[in-house]
Amino acid sequence: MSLANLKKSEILQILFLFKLKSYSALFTSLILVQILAMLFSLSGPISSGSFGFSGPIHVNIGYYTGDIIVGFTLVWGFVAGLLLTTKKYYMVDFLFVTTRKMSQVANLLFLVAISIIGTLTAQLAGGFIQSVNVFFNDVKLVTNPLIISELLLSIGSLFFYLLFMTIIGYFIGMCVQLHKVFIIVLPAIFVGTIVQAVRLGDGYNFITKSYYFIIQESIFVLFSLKIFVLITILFVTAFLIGKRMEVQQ
Amino acid sequence: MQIVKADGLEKKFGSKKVIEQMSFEIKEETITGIIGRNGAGKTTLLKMIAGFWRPSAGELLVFNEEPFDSLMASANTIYIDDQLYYPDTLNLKQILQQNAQFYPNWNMDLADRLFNYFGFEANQRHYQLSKGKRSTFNMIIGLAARCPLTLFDEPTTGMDEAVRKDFYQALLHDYIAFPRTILLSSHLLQEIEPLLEEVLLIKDGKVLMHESVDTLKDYAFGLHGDRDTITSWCANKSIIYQKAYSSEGIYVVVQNDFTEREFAQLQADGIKLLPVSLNDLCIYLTNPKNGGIVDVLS
Repeated sequence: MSLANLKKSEILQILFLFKLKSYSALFTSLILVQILAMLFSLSGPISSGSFGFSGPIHVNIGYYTGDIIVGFTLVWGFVAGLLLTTKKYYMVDFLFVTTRKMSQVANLLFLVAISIIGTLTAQLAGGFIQSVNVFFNDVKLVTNPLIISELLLSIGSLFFYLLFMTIIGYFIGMCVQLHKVFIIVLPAIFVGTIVQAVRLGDGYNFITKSYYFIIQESIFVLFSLKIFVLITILFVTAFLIGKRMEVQQ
Repeated sequence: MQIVKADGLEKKFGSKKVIEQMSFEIKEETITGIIGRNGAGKTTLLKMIAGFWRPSAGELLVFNEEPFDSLMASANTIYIDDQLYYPDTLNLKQILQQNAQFYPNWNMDLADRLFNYFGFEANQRHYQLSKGKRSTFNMIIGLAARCPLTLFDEPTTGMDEAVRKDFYQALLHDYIAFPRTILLSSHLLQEIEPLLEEVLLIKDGKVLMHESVDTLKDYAFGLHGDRDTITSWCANKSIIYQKAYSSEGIYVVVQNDFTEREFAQLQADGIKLLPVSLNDLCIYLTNPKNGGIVDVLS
């Protein structure tokens, strides 16, 4: 009898491909979510105003964006990250060959992969909504969505938002796996934070400040850097929790 | 080489100790039966060996590494029970193929032949299988993976007798073709006895005995006859089990440390010597001290 000594990279690759294959239901749900969002988006502009001039000119301004699609996709990403930590998804690796470290690295790779896919499809769906409005609703676009730099910026920031959401989901899921009390604690913190932010108003308090500091950062490089640091902190914490986790069936 | 080595192994769930001070070694290329009553700690022990659960104290080595989070141990160990869960998105054939990618020794030919023999269809789903069928399918994975350390925890749950017999035969056949270390827990000791080379008998989370099957077969025998004669005989012997069947008659199982002369004397005294089956012996040894079910019901 000789013992098999496998290369880590080899197992990582098999794990990653296994996840892509066996979690295909996630992609089906992504398509459904985005189709649903597109139907909502088709009903009209997100916000609009009109200007009447004295005379024969009347201008309607509306935002035809993929914002609803982006919103839906972000929620989907959050749920996907959460799902990855549930018994059914997390424990199945251990029926094959893995370690807790490798499983989690494979999970991270998987979350990056679905974030890329989610970003691209959301971008396409957004473009589709704008095209439909241009062709069927007599809308003239003021911005040109086909400027490469704008497009890349949009794709890049959407990717970071989506990855951020999946990692938040993953992190919360891991906390819940660590102890069920987090099912109550985390939503309580979340709601509490929002209530606090609303109560304090838009002024200078920690919560709104950090929201503006991170999410509303308008310089892309700074934004990506901040998101990257946050993602790292969340994932490393989840990783450390997962490293000690026992396999439940 | 010792495949599994436990030294002072402990596992606690909350404050309850499920495994207590366990020390044993499993030799390479043996089939060992993990035998014990419900709740003795069989599954807990196997799950720690599989690297699923972390020991609370003590040392546990599998292939000289701690199995919790060892890639080498994971690649060379497979754990099979009736709780295995595979993704709903994969059909049975895809599950086999997935296993083939992970396990370097996987034998697809064997898997296919067993798959067809037991009447599985490629596009069936794991969760749709009946209990017995699921166990059968899991067993195929356990055999075809040909892992140097194969752990079967109650592998025959739900299987009918014919399938169980097929399984035992397949196990023995493939073990000879590809020797490996197999740990098998089952409460059907009678059925698996012909497969076993060693028995690890556990009770209340402790190792009661770790012996070869041959040693255990000679470990004890039953004395049957007059109560007073037998009682005087057993004064200095360690009694494993006794049962009075009439006011004068008694059946006693004692540890076999009798000399040739004593045997001859026993027979001269009109006491019948009876062999004790491995199954009965294990039941007697793991019996709780305070009587049997009859005492509770009467």
